[in-house]
Amino acid sequence: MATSELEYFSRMPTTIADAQKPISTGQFRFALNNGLHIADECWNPLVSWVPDNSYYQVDATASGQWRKVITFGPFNLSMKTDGTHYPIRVFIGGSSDKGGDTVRFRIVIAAPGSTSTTVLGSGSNVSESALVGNTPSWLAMSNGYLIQMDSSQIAECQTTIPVNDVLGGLTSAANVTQAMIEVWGTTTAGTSDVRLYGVHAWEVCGL
Amino acid sequence: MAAIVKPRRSNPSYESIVSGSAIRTGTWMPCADLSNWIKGKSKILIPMSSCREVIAASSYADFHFLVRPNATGLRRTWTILVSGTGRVRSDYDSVWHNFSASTDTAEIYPFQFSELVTAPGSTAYDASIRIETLTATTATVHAVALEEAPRYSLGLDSTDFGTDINTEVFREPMLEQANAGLYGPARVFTNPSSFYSRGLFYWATDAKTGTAFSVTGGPTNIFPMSAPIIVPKLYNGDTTGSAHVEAYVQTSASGTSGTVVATNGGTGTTYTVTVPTGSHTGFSWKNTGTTPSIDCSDMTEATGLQSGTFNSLTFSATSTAGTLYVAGIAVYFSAP
Repeated sequence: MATSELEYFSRMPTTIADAQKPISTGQFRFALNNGLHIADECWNPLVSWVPDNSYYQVDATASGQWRKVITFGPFNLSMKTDGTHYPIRVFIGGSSDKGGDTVRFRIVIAAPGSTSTTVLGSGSNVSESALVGNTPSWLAMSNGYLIQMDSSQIAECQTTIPVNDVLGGLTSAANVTQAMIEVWGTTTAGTSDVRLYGVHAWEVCGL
Repeated sequence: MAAIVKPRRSNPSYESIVSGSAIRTGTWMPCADLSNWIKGKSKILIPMSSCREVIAASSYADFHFLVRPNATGLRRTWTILVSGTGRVRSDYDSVWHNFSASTDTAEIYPFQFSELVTAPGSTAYDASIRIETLTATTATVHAVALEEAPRYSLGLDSTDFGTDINTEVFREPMLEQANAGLYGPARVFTNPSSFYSRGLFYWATDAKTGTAFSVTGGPTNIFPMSAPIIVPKLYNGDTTGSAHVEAYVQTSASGTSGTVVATNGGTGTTYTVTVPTGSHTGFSWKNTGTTPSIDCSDMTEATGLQSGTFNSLTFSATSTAGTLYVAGIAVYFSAP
């Protein structure tokens, strides 16, 4: 849900921010609406991964045995006032290698080093594709297109990174919430290879 | 300097700004925090994008990305998903960084290095990297990303637009200076360029005619899948916005021309990158001329997508009387 009052940017004269110019209550309320709307639209596209000529494959597994396909990140997440992060909208493009057989994909967001322990869970930081055949396509996700870590998972993501605040100046440090995104796959029939054709994972302000 | 960029965005209460009521420090301070957060947060110039290339021993590959930076970015961090062993440099500072990673795609962990910006600005530029292998090693590049690192604090100037939070505290006067009081946030909140520039979709391969995507005749699709895409919503009533589409191309001979076409799967509208004759001497960026119209965010939807569905771009290439080489695609949102 938008945090702004109007859910759009209202054109205003930038001269209201000039010195010696009065600013009214109404003007500043419009200005704050703009600030909140800009912040709502401060989402970052994290992953837009589509290989040009191929797919990434993991060989057939025992049914339900998950294997990691690829790792993305680490990403410095956009954090909300309440300590949650902007949810991540995810799509997976994939298929199996055989007609009639089905495979499944999971996508997970977690702290670096924690993805493999949470990908098998049922938390809100994991989403799974519906069963798919051998035609590559952007897949429906059986438990939703948004993934988001809970507070304990976010706590694991706290770290500091080097930053620079002055041109040519010294390096300092900033606190960030840093997470990885991984895609895993498994076979349901036990004979099909799992093929990954694309991954989309973008922040969204969310409802 | 006290234009601190806090790790979390704030959420000032607009209901507290009503005529006849005093606006308290508890409202002004979050406004300044929000303003500083918008200007100083992490900004993605290249999302994690496919760069598949196998580099033989004692060889190298060059990858090119056309990015639109933001003037607040003073440190950029590259993330490279690469298997094998070798070294990488950004052509921005030409500093080499060694890497050694697993050769198993599923087990490799992204490698990161940073570059310090020497001339901040917001003009689009060719951000390029070179990855080299050593005498007896090979490497495979799987993905690349580029981020403008967040800031801990902003400058009190007309580049960073930081707001000094010391001027927002209890019993301080309502200053009219540019980076203080209510005027600091107002300068950020009234300027549409505060919707920062960001990368939406990228792809690159080694910029050599022997390794780039090539097409003779066509049209031939460059990717087996379309690329989901969306842009920020700006103004009242907007359902679409603009994105820039560019291609890094070269032709095989002086008389060869070609096109790279981006088709919006939501509308069927096509946008053409024209590659004129005489483009055979080296790779260069060409754009669509007119900026493609793309669906913008819908805040009434949980996914931010209008009616829950995304626009997607399909890319195809065509050549006439020779071969067209494509070594990069760049799609980015440019701050107004």
